[in-house]
Amino acid sequence: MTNRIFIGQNGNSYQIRVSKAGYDVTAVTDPTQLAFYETLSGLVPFEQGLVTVASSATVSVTLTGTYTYYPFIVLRNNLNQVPGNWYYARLTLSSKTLTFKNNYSASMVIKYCVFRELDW
Amino acid sequence: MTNRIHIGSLNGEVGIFISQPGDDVYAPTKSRLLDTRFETLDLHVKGSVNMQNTYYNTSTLTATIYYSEITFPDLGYTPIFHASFYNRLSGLSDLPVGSCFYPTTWGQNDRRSNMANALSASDGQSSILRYTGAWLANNTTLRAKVVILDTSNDTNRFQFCYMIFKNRAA
Repeated sequence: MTNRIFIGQNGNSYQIRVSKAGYDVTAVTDPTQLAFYETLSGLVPFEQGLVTVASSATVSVTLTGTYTYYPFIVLRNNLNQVPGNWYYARLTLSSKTLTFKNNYSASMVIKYCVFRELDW
Repeated sequence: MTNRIHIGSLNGEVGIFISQPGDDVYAPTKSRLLDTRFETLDLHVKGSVNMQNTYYNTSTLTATIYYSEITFPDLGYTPIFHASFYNRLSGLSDLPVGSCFYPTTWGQNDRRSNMANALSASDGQSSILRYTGAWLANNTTLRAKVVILDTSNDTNRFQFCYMIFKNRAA
């Protein structure tokens, strides 16, 4: 059976790793063969929320975090539509106002996740 | 006490699983903090730059083109990336950013069918932002472009923000 998990000391480094199926965790040659490893720099949402927006309407929320720079934001909706012409959001950084616009013919629930990776 | 960490095989999948505080890792009601069955976006390079600009004023079109080029260390494959644009003049950023496109020319004007469509397109912006796009020229070069149909010729109007991940795109 393939080794999939390693936790401990390997040479001079301490590691916690999980390889993807089919890869030996002790013999990987590329980070893309790992599902998780000790130096992975993953994205964690700093704040998130749900807003219900009626057709042709706009709804605004005020972000609670402190952002000195434009943060990375991901949108999705309950209709499984890609953000674009049907719905989008606009961030006014000075007031931290995030405004959602629904251009679709039906009401929708939009989920937003705000990350701080670009906020330094 | 609630079980929150499992290392090893779980429901036929080998990995590390950590549930949120108060949530049972074996019967979670929320998404787990860590679930190695799923791929995580792994940041490679991030940053932001002021976009250069060039100005066009002809009998058929007046436009300011903003563009940037980022080089980053080669991963040996094409990575996933994310791009966004911050408009300093309006203080706004739109998500997503206008209509993305893949221009054949860069740092120059595209005045063919795309631009003709842009002249009548509704983009949700209050004024004249028409096209924004970012694309990988190769495995170490990310390029971005914004087209504005106005005569301001402002410098430092747009900031290009980018994140390049170690995850494979292709």
